[in-house]
Amino acid sequence: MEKNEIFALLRERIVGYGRSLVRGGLIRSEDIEDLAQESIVVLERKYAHVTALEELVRLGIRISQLKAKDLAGRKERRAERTGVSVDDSDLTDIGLRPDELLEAKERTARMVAAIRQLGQECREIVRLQFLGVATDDALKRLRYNKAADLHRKRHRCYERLRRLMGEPGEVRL
Amino acid sequence: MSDENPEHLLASYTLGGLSDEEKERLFAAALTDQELFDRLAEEEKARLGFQRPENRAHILNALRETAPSWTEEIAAWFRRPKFLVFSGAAAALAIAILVLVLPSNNGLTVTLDPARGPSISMLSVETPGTQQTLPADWSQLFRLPLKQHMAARLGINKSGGTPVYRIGEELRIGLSVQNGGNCLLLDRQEGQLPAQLFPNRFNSTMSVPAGQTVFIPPAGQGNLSVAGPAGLHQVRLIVVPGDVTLDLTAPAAWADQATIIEREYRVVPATDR
Repeated sequence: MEKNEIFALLRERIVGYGRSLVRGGLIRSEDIEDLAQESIVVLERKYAHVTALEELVRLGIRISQLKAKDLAGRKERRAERTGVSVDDSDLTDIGLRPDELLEAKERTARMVAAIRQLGQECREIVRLQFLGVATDDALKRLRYNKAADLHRKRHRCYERLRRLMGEPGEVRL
Repeated sequence: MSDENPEHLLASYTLGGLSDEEKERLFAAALTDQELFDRLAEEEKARLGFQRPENRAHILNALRETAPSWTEEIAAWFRRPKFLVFSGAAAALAIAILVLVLPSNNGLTVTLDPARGPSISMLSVETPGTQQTLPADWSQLFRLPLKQHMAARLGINKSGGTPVYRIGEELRIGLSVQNGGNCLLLDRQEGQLPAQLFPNRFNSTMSVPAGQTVFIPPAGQGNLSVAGPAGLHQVRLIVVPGDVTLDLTAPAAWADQATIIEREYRVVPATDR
């Protein structure tokens, strides 16, 4: 897929993602276009060297998340009339922000508690995933015949883990 | 071409273990599927969090612990103080059943009573003419193990493993079968008889065409409000291929080919949050 084609699709998806953020009350509906446009501009300018589809999508997601936080901050600052803005240069680092690090730490604690309620098979499946054991090797170790079966089982174990963590499971019509 | 459901790759992406080719497939699918993209976005922060060395160490330590065997779990359960309360309640329930049921029945059989209102307000959806005859021991339908031979989906309009509905809140259920099939949807509340949600007055046959999502209630047919009493509900979807008859009185004839999916939700009093 050509880079321009990826950007066009990515822009559409960020607009859709923006709608879900509006529903969640994070940003305003009039911010959606800015969110998509600014995210793609950052991607084009700061990450011009990136060409792989996976990286572009992953970066697009992360940049749009950070941009959304920025837009949400702007909304609050408008309310407070302070007029501070965030520079796009911050977006060369797409790592977790301090509040997100705290969130990740709390999530880890919930995950550890949830793992202790998992059965042995799911624990082993998740452990191999965590160690980065590729699908082919995991198939042999876990004695599955088809990758699709393994992914389905991984998916179920993860959904169970999320339920035990008190997080939303797969729920869509 | 893989028969992989890209959504199944999500967990492997978050926790690790996807090959480059699988990642490519997942991300390419996300570019054209908004729901998948949104879920991927949701998982991305989790993935970054799990990758942090301090978090990884905690998680790996927990994963290295051996899960207790079922005998140890049972022993631990019996040691809990709650067990004493539970056993007392169970004994009281057993006595109540003996007192209430035995005088009027020679056997302890439970049948669906169409006159009895289901625990959620499904009366506008259900209609006696579309009700299958549930087997005398209908609970066997809920004892069949969950399994997925066919690509089918069951969803409700709230997120969470066990979403909570306050009495009076709107509930909508959706189901779809990728290649079509015959379906039955039941809703059961703890301690009560099941209500048949599909087929119903709007969809009088069990057949669900390929790729079509059936909503309960159907769009434009009003709302379905959750009614009391409070408690846990299980919604169970049973799907068999279109050429298999879903005879509920003979589950053994189709159980091997059935896809069985279950969701649960909890009803709480309207004042609970």
